[in-house]
Amino acid sequence: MKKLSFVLLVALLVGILAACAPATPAPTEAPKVEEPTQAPAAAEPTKAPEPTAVPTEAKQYRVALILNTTIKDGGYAQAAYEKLMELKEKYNLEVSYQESVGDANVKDVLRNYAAEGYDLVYAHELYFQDAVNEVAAEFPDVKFGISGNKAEQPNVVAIDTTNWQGQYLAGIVAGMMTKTNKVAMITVSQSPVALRMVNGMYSAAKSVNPDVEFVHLFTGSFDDVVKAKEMATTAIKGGADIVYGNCGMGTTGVIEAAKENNTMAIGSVVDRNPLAPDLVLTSNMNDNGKYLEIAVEGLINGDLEWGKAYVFGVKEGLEKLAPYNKLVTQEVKDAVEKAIQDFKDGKIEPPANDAYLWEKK
Amino acid sequence: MSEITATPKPSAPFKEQLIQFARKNMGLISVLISILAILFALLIGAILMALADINPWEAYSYLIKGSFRNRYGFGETLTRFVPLLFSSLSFAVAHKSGFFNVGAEGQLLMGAVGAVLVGAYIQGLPPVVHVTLAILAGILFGAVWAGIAGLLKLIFGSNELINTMMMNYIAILFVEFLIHGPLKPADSYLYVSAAVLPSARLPIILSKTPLHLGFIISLLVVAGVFYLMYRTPIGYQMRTVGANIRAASYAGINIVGVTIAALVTTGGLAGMGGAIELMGTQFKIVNGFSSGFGYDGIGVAVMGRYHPVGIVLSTLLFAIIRVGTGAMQRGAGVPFPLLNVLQGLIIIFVIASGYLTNKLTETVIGGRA
Repeated sequence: MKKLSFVLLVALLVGILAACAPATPAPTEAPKVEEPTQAPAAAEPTKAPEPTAVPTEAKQYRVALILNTTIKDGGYAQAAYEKLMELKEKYNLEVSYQESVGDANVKDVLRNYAAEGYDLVYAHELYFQDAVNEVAAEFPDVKFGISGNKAEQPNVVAIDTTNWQGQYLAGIVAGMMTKTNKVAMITVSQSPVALRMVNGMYSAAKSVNPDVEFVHLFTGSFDDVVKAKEMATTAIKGGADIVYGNCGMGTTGVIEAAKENNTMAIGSVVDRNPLAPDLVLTSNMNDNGKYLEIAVEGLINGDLEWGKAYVFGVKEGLEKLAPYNKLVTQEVKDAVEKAIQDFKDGKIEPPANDAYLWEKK
Repeated sequence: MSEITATPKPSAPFKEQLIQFARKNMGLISVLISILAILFALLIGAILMALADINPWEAYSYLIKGSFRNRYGFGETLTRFVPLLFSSLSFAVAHKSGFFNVGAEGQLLMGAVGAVLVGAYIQGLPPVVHVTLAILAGILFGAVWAGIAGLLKLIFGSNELINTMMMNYIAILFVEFLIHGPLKPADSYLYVSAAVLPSARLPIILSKTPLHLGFIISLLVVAGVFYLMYRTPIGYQMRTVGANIRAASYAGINIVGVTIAALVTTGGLAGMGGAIELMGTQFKIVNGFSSGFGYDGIGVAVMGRYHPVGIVLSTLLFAIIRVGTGAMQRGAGVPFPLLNVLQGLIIIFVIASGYLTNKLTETVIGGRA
């Protein structure tokens, strides 16, 4: 047994060395092929790159997308994936994606794509932004995009929505539609981002209904549908007659709870109305797929400022409400239109993100 | 009638020959069974992929390419190798000493906690001292975490399989609590721990890859564990207790002392794995810090027949599979759930093959290998 395992070990080590030998020149080879086409693109971003070595008229860009849930999550990741496929057709891109990437593995995935010579590596998840900035420093020739707010390297662009303006619009609807004056929000966490969401929605509701009260619950998970449903049910039993869900896949659980208790609901990220057409008043939609489009078109047209964090909101149309259901009155619709106009005029200030507004008083 | 009774007769010496052959070549047979197990898992995976309209050949070519196509993949494989090796060594030492430690996942996490406490909060140490202290803290935390389950067994005779498994959940949630509060840096709004200071980070040993010094350390640890288990009296006692606790007791071995030694070793190894993973690649504890290294270590140890050399080989194989499945997604577009199924199949088949080998050894030799 001992002899045998020794022989096997030797055989395996020899095998690795043999496999490694032809592989070692590969990494030096791969970037070299890319370099002549990539260098001009990086140096003169305003002009379409003039390919020197490649005979085709236009460079085929290679775009990689990294997601933390699946491409069928019905929300955040799916929007980006569908946009990737749309852009692939439109600009003849070579695309690749990796889904369900954990925070612990994302650096490996980023480096793999960068080492394989992709032109743009886009990480569609806020929690990946430290990793993106760290890896981007190692690959100055590769462009990185992150759905977040941190662009510390000259080859990184960060794109995000305000993550509260859409909720503000939803808050107008909730504040005017609630009959019990109690609204429940179910999100993933109590992070500053979530607090601003809650405060945005709360301040909007308060502006149209001074008696309104809010409850905020958080699931701690982007994919715990059961927990989200339980929390929503608890809130409904506690008197809330509108439940708002913004907790990844859990959002479907929130709407499921509304359905079982015949209670109104407001969805998020995409139009959730089909889940319960009579009960889902509207959904605040974040056009998350648009982030990728902005980065890819910025790469191709050279009109994006790398090393910068962009934030878009209602004004740019990245945050909006989905079509209302039949319960929503014209009065409510008008109030929302007014809020949209206020955003366009820059009249609404971002709410606090360090504590609940109702606790601050 | 005569034909039917006639056939078994000449086969009797043949059966005897077969047993003789098997007895001599049990090692080879067990390796063949393991390889067949993986091939079977891959075959079923291929059928599933074909059903999902994915070309299995192309997909599997990426399984290999992931590790060997370029320098980065090669370095990544050896980096993945490190925590897997520690957790499988941990499981193997426990198994040889007669208890079932499925708690490597939790012990690894606690090891990372120990390492982050020393690595991120103690300042002004020279790198060698800092790295050593942080690793020792990882070993200590892992050993204590395993020790709790072990003491429960020694004092109350409670089942360590259940205890270590439950301790995993406690560790996972405890770490989640830590990164949501006590260990979260004030200026970070993401839920992560503070990062270990540069002086407590392990240097990269292969440029343009993530391969760090932990790889060398892990190989030294394999040699150390081998020496401990097969060349020292305490190792002999641990193995004796594992083989037959009553015989060991009758022979005058101090069961409690030996069990504690085994626990410290198994938990310490897992904790060290967590510390090195933290200090070599991740630097801070994030949600999902250990992507199932502790659980995969069980399959690795079973496939390596609990022997240090076998474990090195099977760890390498599992590291290649881990890296390769990522490449299968990126290169061949295999969906993630399918890859999860594939990895699960491999683990199930490998563990089943370990059971088969044990049964075979029992019938052929009349005892465990």
